[in-house]
Amino acid sequence: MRSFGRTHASTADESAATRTLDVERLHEHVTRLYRAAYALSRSREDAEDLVQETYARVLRRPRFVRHDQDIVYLLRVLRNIWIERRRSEDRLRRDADPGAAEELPDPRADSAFASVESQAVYDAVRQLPVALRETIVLIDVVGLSYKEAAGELGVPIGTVMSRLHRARSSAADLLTAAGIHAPAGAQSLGQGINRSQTTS
Amino acid sequence: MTDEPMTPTLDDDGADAIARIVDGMLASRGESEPTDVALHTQAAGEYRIALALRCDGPAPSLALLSAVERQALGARGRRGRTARIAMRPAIAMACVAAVAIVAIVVGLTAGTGGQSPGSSLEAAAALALEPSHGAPPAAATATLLDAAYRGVTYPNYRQRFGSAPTGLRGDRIHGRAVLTVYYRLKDGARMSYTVFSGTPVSLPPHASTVVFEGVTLHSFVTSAHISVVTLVRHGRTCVLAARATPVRALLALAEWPLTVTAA
Repeated sequence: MRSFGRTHASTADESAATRTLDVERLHEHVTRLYRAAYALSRSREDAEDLVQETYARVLRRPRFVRHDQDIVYLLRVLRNIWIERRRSEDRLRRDADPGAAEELPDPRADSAFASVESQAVYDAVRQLPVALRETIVLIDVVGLSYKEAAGELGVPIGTVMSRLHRARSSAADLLTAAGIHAPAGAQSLGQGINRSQTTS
Repeated sequence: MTDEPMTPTLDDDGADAIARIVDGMLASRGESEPTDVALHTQAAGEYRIALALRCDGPAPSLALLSAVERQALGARGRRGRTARIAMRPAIAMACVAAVAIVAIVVGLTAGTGGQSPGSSLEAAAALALEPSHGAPPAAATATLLDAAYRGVTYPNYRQRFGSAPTGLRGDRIHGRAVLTVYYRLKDGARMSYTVFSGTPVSLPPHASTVVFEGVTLHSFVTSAHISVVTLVRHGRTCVLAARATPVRALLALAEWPLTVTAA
């Protein structure tokens, strides 16, 4: 369960230059990692638990990375834990109630968001099918390139791009269906969207 | 992947094209727009989603940030021990020799002050110019924020000084863990409030001293023109630092929580 989808990224040039993970700077990725966990999971508690477990695994012993950025490595570990947990929950659910549908995300208001728009978008992403959710998280939340995302997901770049389009499009539809329209003036692109960063 | 996507509205080529258009819009911050009306509408919806995800999102709680910091701290300690155990005899001998040399050098320099005693404080002051990594803590009361480190609760300056917290970050300075909360002062300057773990930190020799409410405050200005005020609260060194800000202004901010507590 450790190495997910490295088939497309494992090329000859990767054999060179391994280095240890930079433990001193790992905490710098907490915010991005937490946002990814939040978008993938069902609640703040699940997301915090995922991030903590990720750091616990990574810090348990020295890790070596190749060309990956540290965030890519951390994300891979986080995603593996998330997949393991999801499978185990699925098994339990099937045993308990074969007809049960996947639980919906926790819709509770979340004061950790800087804007209502942002919270609505994250809530919409959390309702997407897994394949779309993973893709949009890797690219729009974490900031991976198409190539990196393709490597992590084990699919061709073209699939990443079409999934990304479908994920964004479906999330936009969910927002519209929920009656959350773009702020006034945002019809002209690039305006009215809350661009604020949470860090100073 | 188990779940395949919802019903697509475009074929794969069309989907790729839209993804590229949105990428172009993100790169130009919305300046470049497709001329085709249908594409425009489609791309606008997707751009809204991508932008919201890239520019904003939920902030991790202080508890999570502290937990990660603790985990990292533990890992560094373990690695240090592992490295010592794994040392080969020859390397160990070389290290013993090196330690002996260092001991001699330290012995020689001890009488003249040795290495700069204020270097930890200057490193803490330099954090005033660094970016924050986490969302600002919320207000717990009119005088305190909902953030504490090693028994020191960070002050809430909003009501009294019009200075809001803007973020936080965790670091290690010369082996000590520190947590910094950033504030935006009323004049727009950015101030860092750093709390050191462990026992009080040595002061630089050029620091001046003020005694207020029985508590000693120290101040100095770094070579990078960062004004610094330090004090000890609950046994921890606290460092207030801001660039191009009068030391007097920082003294007032440092003194205020003590006044409030004493009142």
